[in-house]
Amino acid sequence: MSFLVLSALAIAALVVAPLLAHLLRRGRAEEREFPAAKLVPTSPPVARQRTRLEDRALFGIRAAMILLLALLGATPFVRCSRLALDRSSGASVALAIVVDDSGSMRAKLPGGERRFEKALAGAEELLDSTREGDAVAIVAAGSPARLLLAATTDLSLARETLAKLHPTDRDTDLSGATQLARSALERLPHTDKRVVLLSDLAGDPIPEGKIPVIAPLNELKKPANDCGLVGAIARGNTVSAQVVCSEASATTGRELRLRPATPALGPSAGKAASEAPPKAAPLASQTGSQELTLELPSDVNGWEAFITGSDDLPENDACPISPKAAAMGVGVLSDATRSSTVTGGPTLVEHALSALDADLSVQPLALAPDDPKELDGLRALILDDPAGLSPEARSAIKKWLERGRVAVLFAGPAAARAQLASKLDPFLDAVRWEGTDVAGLDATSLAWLISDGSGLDQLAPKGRAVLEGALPGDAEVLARWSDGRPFMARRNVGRGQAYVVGLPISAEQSDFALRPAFLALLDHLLQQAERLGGPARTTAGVAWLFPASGELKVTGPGGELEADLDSPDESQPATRRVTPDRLGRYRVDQSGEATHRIVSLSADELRRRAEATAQTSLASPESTQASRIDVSPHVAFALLALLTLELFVRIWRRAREPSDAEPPASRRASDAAKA
Amino acid sequence: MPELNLSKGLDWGELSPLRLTARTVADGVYAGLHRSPRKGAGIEFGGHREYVPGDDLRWLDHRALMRHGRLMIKEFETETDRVLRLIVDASASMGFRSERAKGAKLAFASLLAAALARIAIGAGDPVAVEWLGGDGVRSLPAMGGREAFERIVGSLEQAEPSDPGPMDTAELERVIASVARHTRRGAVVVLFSDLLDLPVEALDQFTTLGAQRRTLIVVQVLDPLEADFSLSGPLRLRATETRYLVETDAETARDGYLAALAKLQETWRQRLVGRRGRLVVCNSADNPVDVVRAIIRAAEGRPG
Repeated sequence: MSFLVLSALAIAALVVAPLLAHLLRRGRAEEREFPAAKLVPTSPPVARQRTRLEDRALFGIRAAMILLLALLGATPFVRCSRLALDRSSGASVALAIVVDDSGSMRAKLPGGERRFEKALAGAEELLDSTREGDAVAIVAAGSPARLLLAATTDLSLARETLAKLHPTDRDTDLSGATQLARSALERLPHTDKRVVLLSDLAGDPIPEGKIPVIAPLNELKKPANDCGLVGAIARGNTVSAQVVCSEASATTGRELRLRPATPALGPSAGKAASEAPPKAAPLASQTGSQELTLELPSDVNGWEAFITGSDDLPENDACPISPKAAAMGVGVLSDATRSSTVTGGPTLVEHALSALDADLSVQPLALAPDDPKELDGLRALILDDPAGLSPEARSAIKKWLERGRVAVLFAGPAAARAQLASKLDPFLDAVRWEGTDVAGLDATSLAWLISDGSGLDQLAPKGRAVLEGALPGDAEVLARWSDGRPFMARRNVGRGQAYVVGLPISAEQSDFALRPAFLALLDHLLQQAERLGGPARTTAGVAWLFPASGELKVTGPGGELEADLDSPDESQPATRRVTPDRLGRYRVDQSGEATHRIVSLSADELRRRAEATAQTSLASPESTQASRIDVSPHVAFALLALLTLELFVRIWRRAREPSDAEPPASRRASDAAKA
Repeated sequence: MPELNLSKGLDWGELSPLRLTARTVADGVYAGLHRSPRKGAGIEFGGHREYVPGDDLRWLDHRALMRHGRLMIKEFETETDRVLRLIVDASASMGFRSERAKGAKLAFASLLAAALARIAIGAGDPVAVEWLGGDGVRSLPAMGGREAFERIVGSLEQAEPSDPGPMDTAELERVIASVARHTRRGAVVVLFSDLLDLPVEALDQFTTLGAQRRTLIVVQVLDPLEADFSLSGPLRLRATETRYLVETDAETARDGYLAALAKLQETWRQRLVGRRGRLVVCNSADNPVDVVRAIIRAAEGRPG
């Protein structure tokens, strides 16, 4: 602060001048002798009123005017807590505002305000400081990072976008958000480009780039004092809950308990209310993750786990209990004698499924299930060269598929030997097995599955199932042999999908099952199963995909969620996308069938928060300049308004005062007495 | 305006020396004024006046009653001694003087008393002096002659206001009783006081002196400041005698004060009229000659 600024601000001391003038003017009431004092009526209120300010309104206005004059004289630039753009070059600015809407931003600041609210207020202040010609883009940093508004000069659009933003329980994706923000500004002609990150920086490191990243809100970087429940899974008659704490102090005096589920979370709420809650498990005094176990008294859906006490983020202190069956059930019908390695052990497909490291529950099947109840717990079914399917099995599989499940049939010599009564419907009609000398697959036709298809053209199988002519009319060929014959096909059965592959898994026929393409195929099938059937448990922000047709209603803790029509590419059917971003239990009503899904918090979101202090170095030096604002026009306008107000007040006061031409009654009486 | 001053001594101001000033005032009053101020039974007819209860029915003018239907009393001038008894209030409040005053109220009252004494002595009437309160005061019995004036002036000059404090009711009774005992029928009794701090019984007791056809004159001596309350701004006023403190605003309190003062004067005036008495109001900035004339006119029963 320069000497001139200090001198100008010293003028503010003149605010006491009107008060001093009043004190000098009012005089002091000193005690004096007066023999006839007993005849003098007392009027202490009036006497004291003389010592008070006669016109507080005028005094206030004049004092404010002096203060504003001092402020105006100090400097055209005054530091204040508002965020504003610093225009060092004077040119228009291209600005990408990254608002972190992850779960950690719901934590409370020491003043009681939420971090997200602070960030949103900062974004609005930045918008207020923009001028005509500035371009603004808005990115949300909750995982996955989303470009909410491409760079635009329409500031009203930006304000509308900010108004729609709300806090979520998503994971943090600062890296993706920063890249999105930079890419949104890259093609703009502006020379001054900036990314403003309004975040607690509890995320992955910010990648380097040409466009500088500013993190001006230092108050958000302070680590939150929080313990959160990542998930609670029922295992038999116990509940295993994972708790992550950002600070050891956040665990003090707190314990894990069960309570009846709130109606919004569970359909069986209230059923368990009559039962006595089980014993609590105290939290260990440590930072990071810890797993606690509680006894589960009854139905999983009737209870939810919660942490007693309070912290900066109470929203993640409770979560519904997921059944163990939340892992995706995959049925595998494979002949171990043909589809196992020579060393024995599980079949190749089971090996491959375990290699996917997915949350799966693999159930080996001895026979194709002919009872629909056997398929209830399964979301995907893998049939490896079955020797035909009985009518009961075909009916059960068909009904099961229509509920949005996925099944794949690897056709081999056994399938080709199926008896007339044992067809392979709904996958295909009778199939024929033939020995072949074809070199391999057309790698380009499998590009949608695996980009690196090298080697598939040299598969050199001993034989292959001839799908041509055996596929139903509505089947879609997804991959072909190098000679153009179908290798893989798919047909929709109700809401489900039935795949056919023209090779068995057995390594005796080909090494297809040993290649990465086989893993990619299984992964694709599981993804489709998850997409169609829906995952039982996801983290907040992970989208749920549903077929584009049919009735769909998703209800969560925040009410009904809207579905967006999504079409990833031409090879995939159009789907509807629902993205739950709040923790809790969701009900999905799909074509008359109701299922429940659980959205949980990402453990990384809680763990990263513990490391938030390490991210503070990311704030660039420009951040300090972002809080500089020119308030001269506002001050001058306020001064003008006060001047006008003072004029009106004086006119009003004068109009209310009695006329000087008419003396008071006492003076008239005195004059009359003298006369 | 002097500050609160509780020191002893009287501020004579421009009224000193009393002997010369009183003589000047008395000379200023027209010559021959000393026709007998007493009216009643005597040799020479003195005129008529309205009947008031208590009058001797022997002097009722029956002819006037028959002619005009009004009760009228015949009055006669006498040749008897007409004692002038001066009662001077020397309480603490009488020592007050403001800037506009010629002297303290007690000094002004002393001047008036001395001038009256000189006029009375000059007319051959004896003069007595009594005091209400005061320090160093000396009461004088009724006396006449050339030395009487000197002794009266000496007594008036030696008087000082008494210490602050309410006047003792017993002392008031003692003075009134003494005056009643030593004052003969037809005498003129003149009280000089500001009437501000007299006991509440003072009015009743003083009016009892009106019996035996005595003439009562009360001269209220005020300071000019007390007369018009020409103060301004916030005030903290303390009474001289009672030390009573009042906090007020001059502009707001002026009307109330003047009304209270007028009410006090009206109370005395009404009670005195019933006893053939008169109230003369003056302040220490007035011309003493005019005041003395007003007192004489009041004593003669003429309008002031």
